[in-house]
Amino acid sequence: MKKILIVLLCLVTVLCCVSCGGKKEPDADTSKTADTQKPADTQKSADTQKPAETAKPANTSSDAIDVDLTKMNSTMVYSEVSNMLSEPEKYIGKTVRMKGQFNASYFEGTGNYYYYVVIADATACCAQGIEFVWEGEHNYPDDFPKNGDEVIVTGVFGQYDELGITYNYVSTDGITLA
Amino acid sequence: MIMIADISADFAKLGEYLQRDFVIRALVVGVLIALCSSLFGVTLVLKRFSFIGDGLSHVAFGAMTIATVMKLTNNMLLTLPVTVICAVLLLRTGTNAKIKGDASIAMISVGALGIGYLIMNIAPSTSSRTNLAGDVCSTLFGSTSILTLKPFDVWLSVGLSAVVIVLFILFYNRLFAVTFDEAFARASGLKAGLYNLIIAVIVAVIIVLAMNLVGSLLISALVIFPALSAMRVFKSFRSVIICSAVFSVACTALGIMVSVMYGTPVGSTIVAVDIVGFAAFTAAGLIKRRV
Repeated sequence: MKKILIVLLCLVTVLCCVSCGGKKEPDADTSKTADTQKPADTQKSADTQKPAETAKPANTSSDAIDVDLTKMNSTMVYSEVSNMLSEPEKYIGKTVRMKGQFNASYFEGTGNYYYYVVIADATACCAQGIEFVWEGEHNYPDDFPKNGDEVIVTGVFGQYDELGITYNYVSTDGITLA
Repeated sequence: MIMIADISADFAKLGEYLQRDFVIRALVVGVLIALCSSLFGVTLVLKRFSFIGDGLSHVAFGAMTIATVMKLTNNMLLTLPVTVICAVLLLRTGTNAKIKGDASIAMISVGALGIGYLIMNIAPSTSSRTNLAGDVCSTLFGSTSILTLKPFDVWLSVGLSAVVIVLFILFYNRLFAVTFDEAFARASGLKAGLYNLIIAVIVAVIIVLAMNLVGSLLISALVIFPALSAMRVFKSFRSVIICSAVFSVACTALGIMVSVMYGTPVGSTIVAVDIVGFAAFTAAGLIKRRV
């Protein structure tokens, strides 16, 4: 009888946990912004390799920043970025400031350039990139930093759909060379 | 004065970090794993099974690499059953097999570690990664895994920890008997083999859970240090168990907070705090004996 009681107790505990683990609380922000369209990307040919040395500084004040990755230690930066990418719904609409290497890549499927801030992790062995979109008309590579340049980008975290896949990005109004 | 200002700034930063969901998750899971490992750590140390934890952690690493290659959504779904099966095999074949005792543990341990790393290097899905060394480093030393847990991982850890704690409380007297005098326990009609099997399965569960916290190479620290520290000061089984649990929970929570504050790797920081705690308890034990 005692053994049956133990087994039942264990089963109930596990079932409780599994049922709780399966639930996912809906986030109002997710449905609101999941359909957000990515702003018009500036697509230019790669043959004009004139790097931009002067980038427009972001005008977001430090007080209004919700997630400031530039002020965190390496362990927290890695964890925060990892959570931003695994649970993006919690960060949608938040102002993010990030520092890392600028990287631009061209995707033939859409014919667009995509821009990233690549952030090194705690052990300096794994890097995570966060895409950003620079609002307004800007030409690549003329107006952008060189690949590998250290930049600071401040903007609002969001998502957009492209080719049936949801991507995370930070919408910014400027890039600062670090 | 400047030092006090620095410390207060550090604590202010910690307060800010503690508002993050993933830090709270890390603390909850970390404390639960520490509690479970300390409870069974005493039994393992007394039964001279300390290295079973180490061997099983390497098995878990091998299983995790296979799960990664198979692109499973949750590695634990494969890692847990494989580690449990190996724990049972190690214990079941321990007395009858041609390869006995520590030799079989060592063989499975290094075998799983080597095969795991080999699979990660040759499998197309993982070998093309530029950060392969980082992935392996993170799995072996648990640099940040505990801070990147998903809600499902947390609930699974909570559920399994609850089962481990409930089983320990329910079987406390029998575990005590099997731990101290297995021959006497058998003579008095206790199914020692069954309880050894239960210990092996539970240890496998703890190992898999602890991989997220300290990585597979440092798991033994969670099993050994709390038990040995408590034994420096206390002598009875019950008091050692209680002290070990308190020690382990306190060191783990402190280790996670220090790691978050100063950006150090979580697993190594917890082990460092455990070592400092062990030294303090050793000193306390010496003082207690002299008084």
